Amino acid sequence: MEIERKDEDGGPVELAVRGELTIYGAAEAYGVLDGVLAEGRDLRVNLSQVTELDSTGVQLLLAAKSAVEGKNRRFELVAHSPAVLEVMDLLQLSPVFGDPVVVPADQI
Amino acid sequence: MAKTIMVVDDSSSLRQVVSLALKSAGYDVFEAADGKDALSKLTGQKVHLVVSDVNMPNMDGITFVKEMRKLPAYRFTPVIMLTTENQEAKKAEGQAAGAKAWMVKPFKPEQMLMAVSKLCLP
Amino acid sequence: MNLEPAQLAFFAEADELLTRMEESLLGLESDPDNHELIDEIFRAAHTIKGTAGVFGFDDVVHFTHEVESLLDRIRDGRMAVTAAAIGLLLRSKDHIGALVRAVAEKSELDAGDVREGGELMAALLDLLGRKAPAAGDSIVESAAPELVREAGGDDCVSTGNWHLSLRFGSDVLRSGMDPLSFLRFLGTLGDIVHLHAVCDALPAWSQLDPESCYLGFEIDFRSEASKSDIEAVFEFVRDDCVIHIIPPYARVSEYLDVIRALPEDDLKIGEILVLSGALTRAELERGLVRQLDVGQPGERVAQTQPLGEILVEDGSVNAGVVDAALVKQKQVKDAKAQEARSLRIDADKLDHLIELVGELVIASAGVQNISQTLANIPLSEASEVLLRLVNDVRDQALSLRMVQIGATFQRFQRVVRDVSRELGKDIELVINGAETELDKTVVEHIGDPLMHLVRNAMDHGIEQTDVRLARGKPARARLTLGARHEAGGIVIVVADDGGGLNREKIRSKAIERGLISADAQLSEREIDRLIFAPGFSTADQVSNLSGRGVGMDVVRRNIEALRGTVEIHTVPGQGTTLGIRLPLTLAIIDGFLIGVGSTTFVLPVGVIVECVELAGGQRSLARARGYLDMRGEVLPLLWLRDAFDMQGEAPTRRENVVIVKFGQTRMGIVVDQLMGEHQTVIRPLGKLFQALRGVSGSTILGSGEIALILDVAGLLQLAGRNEHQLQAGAAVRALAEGDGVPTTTA
Repeated sequence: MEIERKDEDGGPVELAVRGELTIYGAAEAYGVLDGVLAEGRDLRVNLSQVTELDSTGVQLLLAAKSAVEGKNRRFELVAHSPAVLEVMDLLQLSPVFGDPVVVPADQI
Repeated sequence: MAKTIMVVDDSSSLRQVVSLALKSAGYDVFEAADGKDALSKLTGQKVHLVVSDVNMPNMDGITFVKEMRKLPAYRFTPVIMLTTENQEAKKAEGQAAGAKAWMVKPFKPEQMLMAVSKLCLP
Repeated sequence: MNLEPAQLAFFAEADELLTRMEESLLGLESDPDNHELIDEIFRAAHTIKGTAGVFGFDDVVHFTHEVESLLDRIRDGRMAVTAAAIGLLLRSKDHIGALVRAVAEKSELDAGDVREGGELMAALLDLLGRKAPAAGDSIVESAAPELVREAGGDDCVSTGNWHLSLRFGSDVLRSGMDPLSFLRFLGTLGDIVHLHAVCDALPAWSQLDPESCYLGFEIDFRSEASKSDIEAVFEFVRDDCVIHIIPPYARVSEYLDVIRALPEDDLKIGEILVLSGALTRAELERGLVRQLDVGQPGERVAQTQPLGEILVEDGSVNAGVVDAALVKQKQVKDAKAQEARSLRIDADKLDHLIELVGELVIASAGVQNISQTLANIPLSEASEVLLRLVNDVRDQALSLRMVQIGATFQRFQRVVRDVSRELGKDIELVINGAETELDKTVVEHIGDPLMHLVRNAMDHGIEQTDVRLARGKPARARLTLGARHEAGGIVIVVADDGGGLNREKIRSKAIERGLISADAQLSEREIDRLIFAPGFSTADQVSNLSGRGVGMDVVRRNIEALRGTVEIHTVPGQGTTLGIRLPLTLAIIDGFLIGVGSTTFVLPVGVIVECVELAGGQRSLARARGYLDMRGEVLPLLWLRDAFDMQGEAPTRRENVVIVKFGQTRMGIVVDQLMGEHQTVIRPLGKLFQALRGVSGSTILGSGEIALILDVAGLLQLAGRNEHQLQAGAAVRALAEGDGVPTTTA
């Protein structure tokens, strides 16, 4: 797993997760997110390159969302990959995260 | 992408049956004859699940799981332990080593497939 | 899926494993402590069993399982490596080979192998301490009973949904168990209609452990799967998770139907629910654990919450279903209440218990002696309580050995039927008092004497039919077997309505046999009793059944050996009644201690009528006459000191008379001292002293001293036969002087 950070001027911090967002990388991902959260900025997580998502990943995203929103900042998930969509769908999480989910045409 | 399963048992015919059942269900399977053999075959590639016998020569299943858990890439790999001895002591030892799922031998190939599917669908 | 190649591999593998097993077994013979060899042998059996099972070769699995169990014990050191064990294992190894070969060749085992298998199985089970393969011992974990359900076509749409409530344990992720996997698998059993992820347990960001699991789910699930199938999805994480599975409404009515249709077995409430499918076995276990936990430590356990309530509270099962199960349970209980509840117990165990109770009685008597000596009131009170409890325990223990005599009597139905045909007589057997209970040992010993008496009555007592008719009696004769309790003992009666004893014939026969002199003056009773004399028989012809002149003599001796007596009462022309009086038990009696000089004797309390003091002028008068005037009745006296020819002088001031009654006879036994009641455990006399009259056994007093138990029937005879005095006296002296006290120890 790799996490790439992009900073937009005046906009949110964007973290792009690449590879597996699973228990193997959970501790590392927590560290990265922790650093970003300390900055108290809006956060956008780009999930387009996530190949696998497990419960730890889901928990991290849920906890990060509530931490960011607890500071009156915006948290959004964008560009859900198929692996992420499968989990979102299984756990019926879309309403929980409240982000617009773009379902690729070939999956409808 | 098919899920990869490693089957560890000293009985080659049992490995064959289990492999056959799992492959026909769509898993990738590779085999090892005992704990030592299995460790030598864990070279960093993704293994989604390990099915391992407890009682084996050279290195028994529980030692193998303990050793496997020391390798970063396999710290959290789910393990199904096979045993004929439905012994609580062994089971407790195995669970402490990180093998939560147990199956009592003998089992039918379908039962094995069912157990594997609970932990990862093909 | 083509298993053929794998099967072939298995046969080759089994061959190889068996060869190794044999080598190791042979090696073990010279090196029985070699753990590597034992491991090797175990592993061979283990692998064969495990693999054979995968192929479904059940015969191989079944047999090898027992071999493996034995090896497991050897491996754990619970069983020694003996030559016999190795021999058995070698034969077993050969048999596994035969079983595998039969599968490989798709043939049946030959008869020899089948027999060998049976023998080996029996030997293995024997070593494993099991009798036969128990049903519950199946080697494959049996799935919860599957109930056949009609798939209800359109109905299944309207049956509603299951509701699953899941809370995963915090460690599941670390062991590779991802809740997502289970949910995905659940999806293969039906439709996840609605899923709500419960994140309440998710801590604040700073507290979050990214590898711990905080998730829970509430799921509406539509499926035709059974409750246990659904639960099985989570089997690997069941121990770490809280799982509730609530069935759809339609299922509830289905459970109710199943519960009502269950057979009338004696089932626990939980079992009924599990059988109906409303409850899974894991839920039941959890409920039972909770039931135990509910009572706080120190709190009275009496108010355990009913399991049904717990299960309903847990949400494991619907209240209506529990009610239905309870109704079912009550029906079954009511049915069961009709049947006697009983337990089979090995007679030896019971005997051992009685023996121990005997020792307990002696020991507690000792405690009481000491506490009286010490005159410590709290101790005396405590020992009183103890004594009372010990007495209760004794009575209960003895009652365990009590059996009804009915079964013994019933055996005679057949005897009477067969014998009456043989004799050409029409005889009916009437049984009364069949429910009367007596000690099992007594019952066991009374069979033979009874058989003699019954046959005798049919043979000699009851007349031929034409004679009966001529005498104006009904053609059908009546033989009665009866039993009743009387004065701390039991009386068994054998009565016939035959001709009665012919006293003239008895008398002349006795003279002829030299049993009495021709001019002897005998009372009717004395004449009647002659039939019990050794070598007496009155039968005109020696029949097949009795009349060999051994009958009644042997009967009397057998009964006396049981500390019993036999009485005869006959009315010429109307019939004969034999009454056998027996003690209820042979093990313990309530005794009454009496002293002569420094020697203590025991009399059974049951035979004592009263005790009177013998002093002053009455004493010398009694001594001179040999009897006592008891309120106008003549009471013959027996001076125990004289009867046993004991040393020492009688006390100067007074003596005591213990008045005993036995049968119809009363007698006074003159002793020095009366020492009160005492629980007496009877120890039979040694063989050497068994012919001794007047003494029936010995006992150990609380003080550790030995006391002889007096046999009143014997004493009565002794009173009439002074020639025995010398013989008995010598033996008693020998006993009292501790010259080899004949106690039989267990």
